[in-house]
Amino acid sequence: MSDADVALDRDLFFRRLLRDLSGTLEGVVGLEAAEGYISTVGGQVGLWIDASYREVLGKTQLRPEEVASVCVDLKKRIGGDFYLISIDEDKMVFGNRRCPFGEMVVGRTSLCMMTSNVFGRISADNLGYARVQLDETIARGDPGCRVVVHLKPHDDAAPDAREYYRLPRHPADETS
Amino acid sequence: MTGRSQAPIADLALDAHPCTTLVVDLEGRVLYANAAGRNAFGLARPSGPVPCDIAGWKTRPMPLADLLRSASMSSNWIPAHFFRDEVSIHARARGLPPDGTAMPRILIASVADSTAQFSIHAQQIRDLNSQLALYQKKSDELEASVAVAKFLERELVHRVKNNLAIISALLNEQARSAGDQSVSGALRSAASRIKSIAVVHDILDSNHQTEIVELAELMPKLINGIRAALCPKHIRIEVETESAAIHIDLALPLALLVNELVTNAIKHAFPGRSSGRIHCRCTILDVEIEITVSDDGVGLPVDRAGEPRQPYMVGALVSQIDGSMECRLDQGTEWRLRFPFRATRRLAATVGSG
Repeated sequence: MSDADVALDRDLFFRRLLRDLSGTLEGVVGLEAAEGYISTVGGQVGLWIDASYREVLGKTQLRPEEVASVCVDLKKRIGGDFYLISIDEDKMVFGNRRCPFGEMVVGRTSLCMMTSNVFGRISADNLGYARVQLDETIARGDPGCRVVVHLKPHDDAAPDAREYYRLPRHPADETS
Repeated sequence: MTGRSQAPIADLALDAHPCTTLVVDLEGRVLYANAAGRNAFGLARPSGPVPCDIAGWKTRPMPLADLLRSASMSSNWIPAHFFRDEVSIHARARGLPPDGTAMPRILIASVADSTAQFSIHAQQIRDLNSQLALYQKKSDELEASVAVAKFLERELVHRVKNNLAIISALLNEQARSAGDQSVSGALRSAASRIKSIAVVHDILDSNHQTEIVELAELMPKLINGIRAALCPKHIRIEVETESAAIHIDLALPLALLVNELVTNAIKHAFPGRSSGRIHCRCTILDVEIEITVSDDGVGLPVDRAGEPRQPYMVGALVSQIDGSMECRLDQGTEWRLRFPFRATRRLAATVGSG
C-alpha cells in the first residue's frame, strides 16, 4: 500500500485541511466574519514570526529593508515565492508567483488575511504603522499576487483599509 | 455643512444608532458607549461619576485582555462574543488609529447575528406565549365566574317565580276562606298583582333569561292568568300585541298596569250584564309603546270633578315608567297609555329555547 501512487503527503494534507476549514468558515459565518477569524489567527502568527526573527537577528527593532527581507524569507520558508518589487519610505511593494497554500487557495480569499496580517503585523511593530493593500491575489484568480504595504498613515484611507498599529509592549510603557 | 457643525450631529446619530457601539481601552474601561451599547452591556454613562467597564464580561474566542489587545493592533474586524449570565452579545472589534499619546482604543460593535437574533426572538415568543397563557387563564376564570353568576341569577329568578306563585296561591286560598266580601276581594286583588309579577319571572325562567322579556309572550300569558283567576265566563278578554324585547324594569310595571286596568274592567264595567268584552292591545310606535285597554261596558264612575275615577296604583306605575295616560269614555271605557321604549337586543339563541 505504501507504494501506491496517491497524491497525499503531510503538506498536501494540511493545505487541504486549511482550504476546507476556511471554506466551511466562509460558508457558515460569511466571508467578512471568516476574514475576522483568520485575521485573529494571522495577527497572532505575525507576532510569533516577528519575535522569532528579532530573536535570531538579535535586534529589538528591524529597519524597513530588514522587514521586507523577513517578509520574503518567511514566505519562502513556507512554500511561497514572494519577491520585493520596490521599497521606499512610504511603502513596500511585493510580488508573488506561488502561494504557500498552493492551488488550494483559489476561491478562498479569506486565507489572504494571513498574508495581510503577518506582513502588516511585522511592519507595524517594527516601523510604527502599516496599511496592507492586496491589489492582486491568486485566491481571486489573478496569476500572481501584488501586495502593497503602506508605511505612512493616510487621512483619506478607505474605512475598510487594513491598517496595523504598533502597540506598546506593556500599557504602563505608554503612560510613563 | 462644516466639520464643526457635523460633529454634534454625528454624536447624536451615533448615540441613537441601534447598533451597540463601544470604545474601550486595553483594560476594558469604557471611553464611549452609545445608548444601545449602554443598554446591551448594562453600563452607566462613561462620563458619569461611576467607573464604567466591561471587565466582568467573559469573551470568545479568547479572554477579554487578549481579545482587546488583539483587536487593538489593527483595523481588521475580529469576532468578539461577550457573554455574562444569560446575556450574550455577538459583536466584533477593531483598533482605532492611535493619536500619538493616547492608549490604544478598541471599537466594539454588535453584529446582526442570525443565531443571536433567533435566540432573542425565541425568548420574545416564549414571553409572549407565557403572557398569552396567563391572559387565557384569567379569561377562563372570568368566563367561569360569569357563568356561575349567570347560573345564580337564573336560579334566583326561578326561586322568585316559585315563591311568588306560592304567595299568590296562599292569598287566593285566604281569599276563598275569608268571610268578608271586601276582605276576600282585597286578597284576590293582591294575589292577582303578585301573579302578574310571577308571570314575568316565569317567562324569564322558562327562557333562561334574567333581564329580557318578549312582549308578545308576556301579554297573552298575563291575560290568560287574569282570565283564569278572576274573569267570569260571560266576559271575553281579547289580546293583541306586537313583538318587542323589553327589560324587566319595564316589564314588571307594565304587567301590573295591565293587570290593574283589566281587573278593574272585569269588576266595574259590566254590572248586571250577560256579556262583555275587554280588548287589550300593545303597539310599538318607534320609541314608544302604546297600551290600550278598552271595554264595551258602562263606563267608569266619575269623581267630584266629573273625571273618570282612576284605578288604584295606575297613576303611580305610569309615572314610574315616565309614561302618559288618557281615558276616553265612549260606549265603554278606553285607557290609552304611552311610555318610552328603547329597543332591547333580544338574545335569540336563548329566548324560547326553554
